[in-house]
Amino acid sequence: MTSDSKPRDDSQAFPDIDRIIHEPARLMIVAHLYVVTEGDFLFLERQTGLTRGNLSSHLGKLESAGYIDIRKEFIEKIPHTVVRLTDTGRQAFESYRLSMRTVLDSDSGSH
Amino acid sequence: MAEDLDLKQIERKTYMAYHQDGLWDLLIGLAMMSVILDVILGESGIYIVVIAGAAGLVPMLKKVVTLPRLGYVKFSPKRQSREKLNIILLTVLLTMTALLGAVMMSAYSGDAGWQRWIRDLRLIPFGIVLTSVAAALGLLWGIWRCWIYALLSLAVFVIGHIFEWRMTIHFAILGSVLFLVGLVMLITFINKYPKKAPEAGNDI
Repeated sequence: MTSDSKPRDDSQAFPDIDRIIHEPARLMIVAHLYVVTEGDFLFLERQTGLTRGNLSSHLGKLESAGYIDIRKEFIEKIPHTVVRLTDTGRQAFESYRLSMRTVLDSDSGSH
Repeated sequence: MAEDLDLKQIERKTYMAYHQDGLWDLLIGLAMMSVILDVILGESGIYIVVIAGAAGLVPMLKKVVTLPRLGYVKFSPKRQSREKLNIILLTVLLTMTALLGAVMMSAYSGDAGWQRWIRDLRLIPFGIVLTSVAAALGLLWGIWRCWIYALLSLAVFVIGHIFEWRMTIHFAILGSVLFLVGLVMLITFINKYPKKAPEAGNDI
């Protein structure tokens, strides 16, 4: 029990959590890309259940952060947007998992 | 750890999604029923052509039916290595099945002790091999319905042995079940994953 009654600032309580990945939709996208080598837009749409617009928006954010690499190519004359995690993205996801584990373990220790 | 289990589940769920189209069940069922045709046509060997054709047809059908509905994915190197190993093991099993078939055929061309013994067993060795192949598929690919096929195969061949069914009846039953299961799975798959309009090219 603390004697000071300053309200807790949650963003300070979880300083190491990667907020790019922490967003639920992006977490799902990154998790699916982590377990495969690469997948196209339709693959991600089907596996995550996100709408096209929503998926596009989140992929844009992940690409801006350097976590994914997107390339457009033709596979058997059909255009595909192929997405893969970059090395930075893989490391970021692994760090995120470690951070979450640390936060959840330390939180359970306080009860 | 929960996180590790979740990633394994995600990978497995993703992988299994590409095996719910029923194509293999459909074509193996057809191939089994073609054995009946072979017997009717006086052992012309047509079933070998059907089996080879079916095996070659599946990858093409995957491109036409499955990929446009689920999208393109390249699985991890670990999964790809496991697939290759599974295919090698399956090839070995099928080769052994073919060799067993040849041995059984030769049992009808002589009267040695072992040939009489094999003739007495009738189709049980086929049943054991088919059961083993189905069980091996269930184990290697983690597809639970292969275990059901294994049990069904065992039951059909044991009952067939008791009631002295002809070979065509065994393959008609097993082939029909696989074909129907495959057909239902394919229809369910197509309804669950309708084709989407191709990418406009400006999705992102």
